[in-house]
Amino acid sequence: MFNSMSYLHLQQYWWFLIGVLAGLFVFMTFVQGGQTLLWTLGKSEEKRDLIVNALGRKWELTFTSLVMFGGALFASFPLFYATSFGGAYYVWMAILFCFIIQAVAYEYRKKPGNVFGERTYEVFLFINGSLGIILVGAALGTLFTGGNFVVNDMHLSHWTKATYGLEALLSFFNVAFGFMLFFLARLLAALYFLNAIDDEEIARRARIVLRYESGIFLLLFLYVAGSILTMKGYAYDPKTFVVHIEAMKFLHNLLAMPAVAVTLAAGIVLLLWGLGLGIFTQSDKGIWPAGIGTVLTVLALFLLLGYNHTAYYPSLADPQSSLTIQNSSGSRYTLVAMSWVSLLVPVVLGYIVLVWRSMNRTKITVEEVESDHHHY
Amino acid sequence: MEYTDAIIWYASWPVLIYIAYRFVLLNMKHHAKMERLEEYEQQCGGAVEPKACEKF
Amino acid sequence: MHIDPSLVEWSRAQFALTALYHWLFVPLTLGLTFLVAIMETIYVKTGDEWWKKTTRFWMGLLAINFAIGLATGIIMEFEFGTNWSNYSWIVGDIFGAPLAIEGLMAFFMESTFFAVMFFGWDKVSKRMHLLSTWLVAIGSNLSALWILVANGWMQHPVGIRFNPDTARNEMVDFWAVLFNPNAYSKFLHTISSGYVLASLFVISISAWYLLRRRDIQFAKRSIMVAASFGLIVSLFNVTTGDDSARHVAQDQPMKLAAMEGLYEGKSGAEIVTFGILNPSKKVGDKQEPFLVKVAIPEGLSLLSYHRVDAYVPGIRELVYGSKEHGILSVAEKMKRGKEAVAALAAYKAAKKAGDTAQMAAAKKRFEANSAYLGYGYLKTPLQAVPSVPTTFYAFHTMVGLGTWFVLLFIVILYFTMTDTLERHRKWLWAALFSLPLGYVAQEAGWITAEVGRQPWAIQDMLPVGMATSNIVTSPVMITFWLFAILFTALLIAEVKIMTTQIKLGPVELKEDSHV
Repeated sequence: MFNSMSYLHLQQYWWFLIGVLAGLFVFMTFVQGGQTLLWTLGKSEEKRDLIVNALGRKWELTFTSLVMFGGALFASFPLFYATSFGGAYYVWMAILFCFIIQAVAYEYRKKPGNVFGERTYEVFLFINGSLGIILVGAALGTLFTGGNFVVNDMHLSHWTKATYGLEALLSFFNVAFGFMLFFLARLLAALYFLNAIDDEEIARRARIVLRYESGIFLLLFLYVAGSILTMKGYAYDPKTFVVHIEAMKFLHNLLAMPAVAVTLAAGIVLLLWGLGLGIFTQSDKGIWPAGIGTVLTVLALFLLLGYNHTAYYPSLADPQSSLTIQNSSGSRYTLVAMSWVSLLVPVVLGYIVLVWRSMNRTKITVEEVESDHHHY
Repeated sequence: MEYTDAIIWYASWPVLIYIAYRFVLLNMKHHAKMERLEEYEQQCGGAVEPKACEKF
Repeated sequence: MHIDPSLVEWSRAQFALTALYHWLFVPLTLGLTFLVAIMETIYVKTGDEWWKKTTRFWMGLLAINFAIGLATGIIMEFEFGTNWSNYSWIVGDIFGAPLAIEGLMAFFMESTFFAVMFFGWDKVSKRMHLLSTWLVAIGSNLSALWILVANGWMQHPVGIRFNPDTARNEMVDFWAVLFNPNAYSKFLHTISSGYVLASLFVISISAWYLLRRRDIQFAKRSIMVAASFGLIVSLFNVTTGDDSARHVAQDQPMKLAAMEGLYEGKSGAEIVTFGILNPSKKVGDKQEPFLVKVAIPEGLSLLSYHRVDAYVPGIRELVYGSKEHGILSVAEKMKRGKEAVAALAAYKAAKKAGDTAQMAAAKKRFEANSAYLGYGYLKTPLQAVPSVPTTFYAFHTMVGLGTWFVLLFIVILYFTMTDTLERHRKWLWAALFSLPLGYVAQEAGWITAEVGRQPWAIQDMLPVGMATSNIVTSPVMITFWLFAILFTALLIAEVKIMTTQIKLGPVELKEDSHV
């Protein structure tokens, strides 16, 4: 099956998978969003424990999605891994620090003898959910706005700015992208809590968050989407691979790929539907349409970035160094081998869904948390 | 390339876990008996009818 | 491309620091997951709630360790990109694959079923819960498989071809990478060392309870499980260690020579079981390499090649070459390596100019010398020699301790099965203090493997000096210190939480005792 695919099709297949993984990761950042809502929704110690435990059953999945996203990029587009991570050093390191502190916070927060006190670990969770997600968003924003790197003819790369990636935060678009993800994570978290927690007060407050922050999110989303559709893009000639700048490249991509346009539209509609269920009805199922909508929207954005002869990581320092799915990918052999491995994806998704269903069959309550010795 | 060696070595991993697990079970049986030794002596020490000692 | 030497040193220091911390936590997870899986199996088979509570106690300690293992682990993956950017391009086509498979095959299994293992006791059936616990154990060990396939490949690169067009190594045989002898021997030796550490962990903590005369039954039964498991896995650990060393002898003779402090090669080489190196010894001089030593004649030849008269090359022959044994000198390899580097540049230039005849000539010249490409980046032949004292002492510490653990498991198991453990308080103390030794052995093994292969990131192919990112030194210095501070703080918290939980003991079992 994969052996007979052309090199370009394999590269497109892998870019598709990267988009799906990115979408799943962004959906799973409801964990991070929930961490920033800890004090907004939980007005007493036991309510906060309840929230932490509702998230505590899922946080490792989000963490693993991030690791998986990195691993898949390394295997399929190693030049991006080398160029962006080795160049935008400060940004990626800052993101990693935000995730390192998350990994211990759940387990150590309530444990006697945790040295730094419960509050410190809650601050860790907050930093992870706020700064961590805003930086991830800004880093994703640079896929549209570009980075300051040069790739030489041995394919070795270096960054041209001494701020090593931090300069990305001077771009209003990148920062807006970051805050858009931040608010999206909070909205998804509110929807998740409605679905997973049996507590009237938390549900009431979650709906208030949905009502107010949906507006902020939508404004940011409109700005980001509008910018993307009107901004210039880096296109390349499929024969000579010479990169040139094209006005409204992403709008052209959208028009040239109706399937992507439909995916994007479906994603946005589902997301809005999910938010609407939380705001205007008493339903607790909003997380599902909103979650699927998120995955589809992110996927569509990635396809706009990488397909139709577009540079998915433009270089501001030297446009000809820009990365495309064709010049940055693994070898044909590796892509084929990894494509066979990718057949495991449905299996993994399958058992995640089964486990999720059996773990969330009944909503979590204060009593359940209190009665468990091992609770977070 | 000849991969038989590698396959045999990799296969030794589950075998190792299984053997270690069986060894634990084997020792557990003996250990459990030993834990009940005092009880055993009380019930079975000396000339008590053999039926009382069957569960040991 | 010029790379600042201080950048290389700081990048190495940061990688070493993060790996050292990560490796404090991983081995325990690898083994303790199986120990709790076995304990839970006993619970499900016997239906005895006592075993459930015992399982839950050890699982609690596992969770504390697991969290910090994740925290220190995420950075390892991304550091290949952030700090070893050239590496990521030059070998990413091979190295990325096992990392991605690790994520897909192992990490998701681990993290999904971890949640069931901890919070699913009342949510899923007994059997489903047991299955989840086993899947966590298998998942965490599968992640070790893939990362050691990647590491084994760095020590013995197989299944690849250098593509001059992309200036990188490309995978041509996935199975060769997976079934690499260096990969399976490393995998089995590493996981079994983790099992040994986990057994020591359970025995040591239980010994402490016995010394304090508390939780007696809990401690004795835990020791029974851990010592039985420990004895079997430690014997396996010795076997795989032997196999691993044989592969080192074949694929990394310089590492073997450094491990053994073997400066002069010979047939029927002895093995030094204990020794103090002569600090003023230099490669090629006439000084004795050891101040003091205890050695077994012909032992090294026997262990490395399974023949008492086999020739084992020493550091001198490996550096200066030996016609008699067909060993090229490093200087000669450097010459050929530089030839390969020049040919590659010529190929690139000819390609740019569109000169196909020149391209073909340059490619031919490159291919004739490409086996020594890595040597082309060395500055002096002695750069090819790793730190002998570090490698030698690390290796001997590991082997000595590994042997001690086998003995300890035998003795402790014997006392347990004869119910005389409490009378042998000295052995209880020995068991208690063997836990830190277990950690020492772990780090020593890792130092042997990683220092012993210097200067190579990829054996003979890519020296660490060429593998870094092209950034200035200061960002790496900054993150080095941030990691040092953060990881140390987290380690302190981890140890404190762990000891607090140990002092509390198996609380759930006590709740029962007054019923």
